[in-house]
Amino acid sequence: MTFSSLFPVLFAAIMVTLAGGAALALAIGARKPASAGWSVSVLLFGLAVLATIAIVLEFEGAPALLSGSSAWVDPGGDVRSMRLGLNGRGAAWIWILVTSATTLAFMVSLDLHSNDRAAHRIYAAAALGVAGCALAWLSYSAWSGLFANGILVVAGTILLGTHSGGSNEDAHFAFRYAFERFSAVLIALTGVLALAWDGVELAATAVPAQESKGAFPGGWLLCIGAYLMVRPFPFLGWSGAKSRSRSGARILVSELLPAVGAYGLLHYAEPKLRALGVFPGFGAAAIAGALLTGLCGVFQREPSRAYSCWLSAIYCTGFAALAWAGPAVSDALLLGATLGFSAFLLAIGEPERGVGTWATPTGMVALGGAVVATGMFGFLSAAGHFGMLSEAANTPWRLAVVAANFLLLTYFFWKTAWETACPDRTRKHGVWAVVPSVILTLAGLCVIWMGSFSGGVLPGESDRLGRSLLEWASAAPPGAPPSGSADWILGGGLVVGLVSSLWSRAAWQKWSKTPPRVGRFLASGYGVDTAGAAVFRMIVAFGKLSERTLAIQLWSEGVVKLSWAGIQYAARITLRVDTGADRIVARSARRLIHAPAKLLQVVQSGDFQWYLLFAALVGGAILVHYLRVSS
Amino acid sequence: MILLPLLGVAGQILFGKPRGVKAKDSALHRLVAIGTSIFAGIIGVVLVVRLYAQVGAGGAAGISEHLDWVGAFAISYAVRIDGLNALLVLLISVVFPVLLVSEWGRERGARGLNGLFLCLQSSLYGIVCAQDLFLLFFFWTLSALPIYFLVSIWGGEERERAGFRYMMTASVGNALLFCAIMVVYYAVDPNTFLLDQLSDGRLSGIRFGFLGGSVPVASLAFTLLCLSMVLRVPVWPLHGWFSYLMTQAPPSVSVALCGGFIPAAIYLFVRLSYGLFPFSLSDLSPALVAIGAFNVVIGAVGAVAQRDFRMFVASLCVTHTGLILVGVSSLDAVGVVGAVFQLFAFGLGVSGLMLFFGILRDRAKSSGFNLDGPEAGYGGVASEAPVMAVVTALIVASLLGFPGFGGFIGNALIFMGGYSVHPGAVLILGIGSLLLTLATFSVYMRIFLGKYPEGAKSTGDLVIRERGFLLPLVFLLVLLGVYPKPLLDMVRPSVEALLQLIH
Repeated sequence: MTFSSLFPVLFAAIMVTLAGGAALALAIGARKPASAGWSVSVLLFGLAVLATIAIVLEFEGAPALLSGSSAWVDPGGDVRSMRLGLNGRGAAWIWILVTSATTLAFMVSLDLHSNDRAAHRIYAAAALGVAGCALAWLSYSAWSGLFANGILVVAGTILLGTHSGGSNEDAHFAFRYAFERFSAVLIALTGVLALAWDGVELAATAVPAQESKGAFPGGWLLCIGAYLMVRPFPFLGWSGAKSRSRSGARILVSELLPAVGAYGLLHYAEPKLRALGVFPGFGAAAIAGALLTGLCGVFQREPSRAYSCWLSAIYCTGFAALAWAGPAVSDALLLGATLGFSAFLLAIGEPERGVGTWATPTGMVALGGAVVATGMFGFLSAAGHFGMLSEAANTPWRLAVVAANFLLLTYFFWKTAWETACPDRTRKHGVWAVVPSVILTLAGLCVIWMGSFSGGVLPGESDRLGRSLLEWASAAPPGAPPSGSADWILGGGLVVGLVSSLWSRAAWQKWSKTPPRVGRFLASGYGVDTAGAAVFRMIVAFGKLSERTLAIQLWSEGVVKLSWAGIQYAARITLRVDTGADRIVARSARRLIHAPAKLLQVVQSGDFQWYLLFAALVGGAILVHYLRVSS
Repeated sequence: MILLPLLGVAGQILFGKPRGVKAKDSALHRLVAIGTSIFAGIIGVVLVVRLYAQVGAGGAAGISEHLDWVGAFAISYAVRIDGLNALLVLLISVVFPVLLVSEWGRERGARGLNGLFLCLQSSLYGIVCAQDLFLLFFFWTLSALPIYFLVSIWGGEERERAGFRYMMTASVGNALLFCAIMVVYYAVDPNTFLLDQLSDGRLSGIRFGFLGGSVPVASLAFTLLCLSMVLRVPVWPLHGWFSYLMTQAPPSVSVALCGGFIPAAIYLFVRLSYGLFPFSLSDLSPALVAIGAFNVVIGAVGAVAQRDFRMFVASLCVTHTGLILVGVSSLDAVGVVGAVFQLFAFGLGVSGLMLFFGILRDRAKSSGFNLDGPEAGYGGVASEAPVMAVVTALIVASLLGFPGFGGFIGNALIFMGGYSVHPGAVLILGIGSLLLTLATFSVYMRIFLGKYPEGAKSTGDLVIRERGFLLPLVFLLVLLGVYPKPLLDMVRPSVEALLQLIH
C-alpha cells in the first residue's frame, strides 16, 4: 500500500472524525471540555500535516493525491447532472493548511476550556467550520461547494447560539446570522442552478464555458451569493448588534471560516465566470462593497465589531482582486490578510476597547500581525495589494478606487488597533500565548509562498529564490507586470494610513461625533436595517391582509355567506313558486271535481235517483223504438 | 396493500377493550392497528423495490393488477405501481405507521381514531394506485369521510364547523371531478374508465355539441379537473377551508392531511393531466407556472405574518403546493421529476414538523406563540430539549431546501426545470424561498432560542417513543438528500414516457 493510496483514506478519516467529533462535542463535550478540546486539536493538527504533505508532494510533481467524483443527481442528461467528489488542487491544500493551523492556534492559545462553560460548543463549531472549509475548497463541483458553505453557516450558528439560551438578544443575533448567510447560499445556489440548466458544467475539470446569454444571470447570482456570504454592505446591520459569545472565537468561526469558504467557491468557479464575462462588473461591485463596509467599520466603537467589518472588507477586496487581477494576486492578498489578522487577534485575545501598552511581548507580536495584515513590504498581503494596483495601473478610475480602498483599510485597521486594549498575557500563560501568533506572522512572509522576498514588488525579480507556490497553486499565468506607480501607492498608503491613524487618535473622538447623525448612519450600516424593517412590516401587513381579508373574510366567510344567502334566496323563491303552483293545482283540481261531485251528491240525495231512473228508462225506451223503426 | 388496512379497521371493532381493563391500558387494538399499517407499508416497500429492480433490468416499468368489477359499465379493479406513484406509495407506507405510533398515548376514542386512519390509508393507497377512473373516484370520495370524522370528533373548539366546511368544499370538488370523469367516459366509444385506454391523446379532437356549438371534450374535462383540484388542494385564494381545518384538526390529522392527502391529490392532478389532457396542459402551462410562482410568494408572505404555528404550517403547504405546481407545469422532464420527488420529501418533512408540534403542544398546552410583549408562550425550548431542537432543525432544513437533505433535490430540480419555461417565475420562486426562510427561521428562533419563560413548566426532551417515530423521518430526509439516485432512476422513465406525447 503506497502513501498515495493511503492518503485519501487518512483524509476521509480525519474529515469524518471532525464532523462526528463536532456532533459528539455538542452532545457530551460539556462534561469533558478538555477532552473535547484535545481531540479537536489533534484532528486539526493531523489535517494540517496532511495538507502540508500534499502541498510538498504535488509541488514536486506528484499526481493529485485526492481526485474522484460520482454522479449524485442525474435528472435527465449529462449536462445537467450533479456530480459530487473531491478535487485536490494546490490552492485548496494551501487554504486547508492555513485554516486548520489558524484554528489550531486559536484553540491552543485561547485556553478556552478552563474558563468558558460553553467551550465545548466552540470546539464543535471550530471542528465543523474547518471541515466545511476543507470541503468547500476540495469540491469537485459547485454542489458540494455549496453544501460545504451550508456547513459553515451551521458552524457559525452553533457558536453564536452558545449563549442564546439565556438572552433574547443573543437569540436574535444568531437568527439574523443564520438567515443572512443561508440566504446568501440560496442566492448562490439559484445561480448555480441557472448555470447548470444552461449547460455550464461547474465541475472542476470541465472546459471553460462559452459566453452564454442564459448563463449570465446565473453567473451573477453565484457571484452575488458568494459576496453576501462574507456579510458586507448591505448586510451591515449586524454590526450594531450585541452578542455575548466570545469575540475572538466568534470572529474566527462565524466570520473568517465562512469567508474562506465563500472565497473557495469563487476561486473554483473563476475560469467559468471569467469566460461568461461576469467578472469585470463583479470586481467593481466587490470593491464598492469593500469601501462601503470599511467606511461603516471605521465608525464602529466596539473593536470586535470593527474587526469583523475589516474582515468583510478585506475579503471583498480579495474578490475584486480575483475578478480583476486573477487568483494568484487574490490568494496572496487574502492569505496574507488572514494570517496577519489571525496573528493579531490571537495576540490581543478578546478585543476590548481601552488603552493598552504595546511595549510588551504580546503587544509587539500583535503589531507584527497588524503589519502582516495591512501589507508591509516583504509580506504576502503587500504582494497582493501590489498585484492589484499593478493590474489597475492602466485604468485611472480603477487605480483610484483600489488605492482609496487600500488606504481606507490600512487606516481603518490601525485606528482600531490603537483603540484596542492590549493585555500582557505572557505573565499568565507563558510563552505559548505568543508562539502561535509569531508562527502565523512568520508564515505571512512572501519568501515562503512566492519564492521571492518582495513577492514581485521589486522590479526585475532580483530577489527571487525559487518557484512561486501561489502561482503553482492557482495554475494561473503571472499577473500584470510590476508598475512603478504601484510601488509608490503601496508604500505611501501604508505610511499615510499608519501615521494618520496614530496622529488622529485624539481628534477622531471629536470628529466622529460631528455631525452625530452621519456617524450613527454610517455605523448602523447606512440605514439598510431601518429600511429593511419597514419593508418587513409592510410584508407582514400584506400577509395579514391577504390571509384575513382576502382568504378568510372574502373567500371563506364572504363567499360562504354569499353562497348561503343565495341558496336561501333560491330556496325561498322555490318555496314560493311551489306554494303558488300548489294553490293553482288545488284550485284547478277543485274546479274539475266540483261539478261531477255535485252531480254525484244530488244522485246520492235520493230524489234525483228516481228522476235519473225514470230518465234512463225513458231514454232506453226511445232508443229501442228508434232501433225498431230503423230496422 | 390497498385492502389490508381495512382489515385493521375490522380489527379495531373486534379487538376491543378487555373487561376490567382501562381504555388507556388496552394495547391490543393499538397493536393491531399499528401492525396492520406497518404490514401494508412493508408490502408497499417490497413492491417499490421490485419496481426498482424492474427498471434497473430495463423491463416494463410497472406492477399491475386487473380484475373486472362491473363489466357492463366497463368498471374494473385496475391498480398499478409505476415510477410516477412509487414515491407516493413509499410516503404513505412511512407516514401512516409513524402516525399511529404517535397516537399510542391517546386515552379516549383510540379505536375510532385508529380505524379512521387505517381507512384513510387504504383510500390513499387506492387513489395513487388506481388505473380505473371509477375506482379512483371511489377511493377519492372515500378519503374525505375519515378526515371529516377525525376533525369533527377529535378537533378543537370549532371542530364541527371546520369539518362541515371541509365536507362541503370536498363535495363540490368531488362533484366537479365526477362530471369530468363522466365527460371523458362518454366521449369515447366504447366507453371505458381505464386510464391506459384513454391516454396517448385519445381525447384530443373529440368535441360534443352544446347549445348549438361544440365544446372540446379535453378542454372541458381538464377545466373541471382543475376546478376540482383547487377545492381539494390548498391553492390561494381558495385555501381558507384548509387553513381553518388546520387550526381545528389535531396534529396527527394534520399530518395525514399535509403529509398524505395533499401529495396524493397533487399526484392525481399530474397523472390525469399528463395522461388524459396533455395538450390542454401544454396550452395552460405558462398560466399554471405563474399561478404556482404566485402561490409560493403569497404563501411565504402569509407565513411571515402568522402568529399561530398551525397557520404557519398551512402557509407552508400553500407555498410548497405552488412550488410543486411550477415543476409539474414546466413540461420539462427535470421539473416534473423534481416535482414528484418533492412530493415525497415535502410529505416527510411536513409530517415531521406537525408531529413535533403535537409533542410540543401536549407539553405546553398552547398552540399560539406571542411574538411581542413579555408573555411569550414559548421560547428557549432548546435549553430544555436539545434533541428536539436538533431534530426539528434537520426537518426545517429539509423543508427549506438546505443542501444535503431531500428537500434540496426536489427544489433544485424544480428550479432547473422551471427555468427552461419561465426564467422569471424561477426568480420569483427564489424571492418566495427567501421569505419562507425568513419566516421559518423566525418561528424556530421564537420557539427554541431565547429565554425560557420564567415560571413556565419544563417541556422535557423527546422520550424514546417520540425519538422512535421522528428519527426515521429525519433519517429518510437525510438519505434522500445524500443518495437520491435510486428513486430518481425509478421516476425518470415514467415521466419521460408521459412527456413523450407533448414533445
